[in-house]
Amino acid sequence: MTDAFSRRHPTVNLIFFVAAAVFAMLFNHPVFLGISFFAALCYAVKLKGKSAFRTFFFALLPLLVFVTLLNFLVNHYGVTVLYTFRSGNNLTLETIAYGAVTGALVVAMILWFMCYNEVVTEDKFMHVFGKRMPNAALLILMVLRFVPMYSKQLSETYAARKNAGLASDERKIDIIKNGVSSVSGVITWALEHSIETADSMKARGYGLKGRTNYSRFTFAPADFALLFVMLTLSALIIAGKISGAADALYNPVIKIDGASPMLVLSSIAYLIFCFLPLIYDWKEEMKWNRLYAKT
Amino acid sequence: MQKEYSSVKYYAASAAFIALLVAVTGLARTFLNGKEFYYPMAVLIIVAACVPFFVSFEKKKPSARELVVVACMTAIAVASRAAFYALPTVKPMCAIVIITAVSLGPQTGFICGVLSMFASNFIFGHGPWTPFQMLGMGAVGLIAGLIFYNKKYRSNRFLLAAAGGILGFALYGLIVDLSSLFMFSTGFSLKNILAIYASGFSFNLSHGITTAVILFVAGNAFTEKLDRIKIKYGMF
Repeated sequence: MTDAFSRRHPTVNLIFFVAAAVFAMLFNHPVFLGISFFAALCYAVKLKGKSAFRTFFFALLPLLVFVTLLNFLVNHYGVTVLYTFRSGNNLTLETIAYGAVTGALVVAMILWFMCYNEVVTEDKFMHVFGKRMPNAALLILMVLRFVPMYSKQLSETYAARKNAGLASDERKIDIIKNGVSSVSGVITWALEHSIETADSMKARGYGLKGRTNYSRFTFAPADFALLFVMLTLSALIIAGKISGAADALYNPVIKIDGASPMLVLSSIAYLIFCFLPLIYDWKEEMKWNRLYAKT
Repeated sequence: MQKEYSSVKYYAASAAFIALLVAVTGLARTFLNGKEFYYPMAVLIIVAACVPFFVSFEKKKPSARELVVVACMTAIAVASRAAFYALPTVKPMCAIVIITAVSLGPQTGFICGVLSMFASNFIFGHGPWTPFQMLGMGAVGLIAGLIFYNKKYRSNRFLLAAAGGILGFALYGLIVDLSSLFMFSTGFSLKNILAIYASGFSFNLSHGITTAVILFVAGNAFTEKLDRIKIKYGMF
């Protein structure tokens, strides 16, 4: 929880990211794409610091190049021929442009998901879906708790078997043998343990009527305000999409809509929408500094 | 979970909804010339396909024991994916989902597959590929359950390994590579589709082989463990 936006209600976080991902997919106009790409990168850097840069330069930029390459090596549509391969296929400007646009779109999506992973943590996700799908939510929660428990049990079993003289770790084959026996033992233990857990749950009243979930999130006025801002901006963005002012065509010819009042309005709304977490965080920080300066 | 197919109406409604979505996607292609609608539509279709399984899972109110055993198997699947973090082509997860489906039934297999992919992506990172991975693994569980659940030939390790290898290679691979197709390619000509599947071929092949090997070596031992629990506590 490094920024103010992730301290808001999970529903607001989740709606923001779903909308951001959907918008990122729907717009292939370069202006919109650029906004989404840049905003996602900024937010990822804000949330994850240096490691976001590392992922961006070493994984995502190569991905962009790969998608572009794949596209113009496989496809040969388009009218602006740049070069003709010996096989007779054309290298066209359109395939390069469309490939790059598609690659940027994918990278923007992945960047948004990187932010999502930081902001919408498991507990927040459970809060949103726990009431609607109690069994599935409980299942996921238990899975996330069991995984570290099983790995701890596995290392304990392995060490116990070794120290009891049941296995040596001198040769590779012995290590593997001990590992396999330990895994087998842990699986049996895990299944038995799950029955114990279930009986304990039942003894504590699992499945009885009138039980509620504990939750530490409350829907505050600030959440309403954010939600309202998001909805208004979304309406403007969708209006831009529906009116056809933000269309771009790359196949067979590149045809990108020029500046129109609707495009400008819609793209400004999109700019504010994509930077909303950063703007909100900045606003909260200003507020804090002002309060801090007063005392 | 005996009443596997009691909620036929949910499945029918889901099928109708999927048909509608496919029709809408087709219309979007002709009217809007919109390649960009394919990915959102695909995700909607996946959600529509998963809904009936989860609705009937919620409606059935599984007992605490059944719930925790499914959670246990899903957690083992997730842990197995996390254990081979350094070797992305070796994933025993598929084999464990198949084992779950073989001994606990197709519907449980589906739930286990979907949730294990979903939960493991909390560790590995969610992305645009998550829905496709979920559906792929769920489908593997469902089909494996339909073939082997409560059948005599399920202890035939050659058959189990062969079926598991094919499911891991073909079914899971086809579904997950669809996400690359929707994301990476700018058109849907046969060439594009082949290029995407060719780039994923070696990865899918190693996934299928891993699944087959694990099922061959450990499949029977693992199902025996589950059967023991089932008999001992009278579940499912």
